[in-house]
Amino acid sequence: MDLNTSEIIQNTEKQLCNNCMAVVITGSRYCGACGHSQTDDDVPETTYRIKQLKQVGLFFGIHLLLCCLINFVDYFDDLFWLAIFDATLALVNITFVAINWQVVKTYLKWPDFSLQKLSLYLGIALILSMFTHYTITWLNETLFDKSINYYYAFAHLKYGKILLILTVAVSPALSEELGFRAYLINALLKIVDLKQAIFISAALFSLIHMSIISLYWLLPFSIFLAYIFIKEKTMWYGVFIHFAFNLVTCLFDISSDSLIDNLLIK
Amino acid sequence: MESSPIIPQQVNSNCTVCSTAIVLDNSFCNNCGYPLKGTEEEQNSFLANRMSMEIDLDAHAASMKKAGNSLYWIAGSFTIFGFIMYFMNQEAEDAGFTLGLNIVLSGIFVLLALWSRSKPLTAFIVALTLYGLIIILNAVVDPKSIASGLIIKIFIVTWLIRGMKAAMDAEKIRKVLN
Repeated sequence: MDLNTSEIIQNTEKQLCNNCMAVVITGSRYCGACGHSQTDDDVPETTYRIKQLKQVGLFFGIHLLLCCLINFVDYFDDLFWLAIFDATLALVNITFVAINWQVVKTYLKWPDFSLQKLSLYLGIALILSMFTHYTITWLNETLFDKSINYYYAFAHLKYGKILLILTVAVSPALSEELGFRAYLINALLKIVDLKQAIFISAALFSLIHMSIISLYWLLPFSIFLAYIFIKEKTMWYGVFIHFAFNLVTCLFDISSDSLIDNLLIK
Repeated sequence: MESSPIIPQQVNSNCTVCSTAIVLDNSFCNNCGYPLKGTEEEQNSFLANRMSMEIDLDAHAASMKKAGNSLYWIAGSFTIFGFIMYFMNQEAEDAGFTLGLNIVLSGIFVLLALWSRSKPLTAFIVALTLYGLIIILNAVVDPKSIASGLIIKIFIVTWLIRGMKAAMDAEKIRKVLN
């Protein structure tokens, strides 16, 4: 059956112009009556984006400066300064979260807690951590003829094992997830789209570790953390994944150190 | 160009600017906002504004291309520098590793240059961060390295920053021009 023009117009989905309230066919970019734009302007002004980018640059710059000092200045090469720098980085992360509190606060809640999901993510973290441990150990021994053990620096302390876990597993999991996921991804979402925000945050997180050779596992791992953050709309799954990942490294280091001790005693 | 929601039976002609079908009795084109029933002055002003945006878009595309090309220059310089270092220090233990690292970094910058064609802003942000980090790490190993090729470094950083701004502006204009 042929429809006449008026019937077709009647059957077409319509909305009202957001300026003159004239009837506009849904999907139109401009009102036919007044010429006003009907599209949501989802691309922010460049000046606003540059301002946000500068804030991200400041966040990354502070992290970079502190990481360079702790890694490359001999004066700061002890556990006391490591604790000071860790606390400072945590404070920086908290400050940037506080500045963007209205956006970030949603991600600090954990409304849809699922034990099954958490177990699945922890399982993935354990597998990734073991893969990373064995490959990075092999690479360090093959390329640099050395092995890295974080526990050596803590072994002489009374509560060395607990301090190691606090410093390497607990503190980075909380602080970095707060800074590089909760703050950074939300800040980047004001500049770029979702996929790009995930990639940029992952790239910055990987580069701040200042190990080009570790990019092969850092980049996929941080993309995974960023994806989980966006998918679950909470930072807490990421905190547990990050904690489990680093904890496995600690346990490997503690066990290998104990093994060396036993061999030396024998 | 996005497809228009207007179905053919409702139209009597096409817009002279974007060729989209025009709904009967409309004063403005639903797709580009062209004043169909405006005065000649209004129509000319619309066309001039649109042409100005297209010229701006071309200028931004040129800035982005320059920034993208600078990434190829970085990649090339890392490869050449890697081989020079390798042949000058062949006896050194880490000569092979240094060469390999330079080649890997070159590869990363080539990938970023290629990616900058579709996602320029992200590619330039990551490239600028990586490039800055490499300069810092080189300066840690050898503080004199920060002064070598300083002018070229300044040019590259400037191109990348301009490329980032151009990518943001271009995205905004493309949205308006559809």
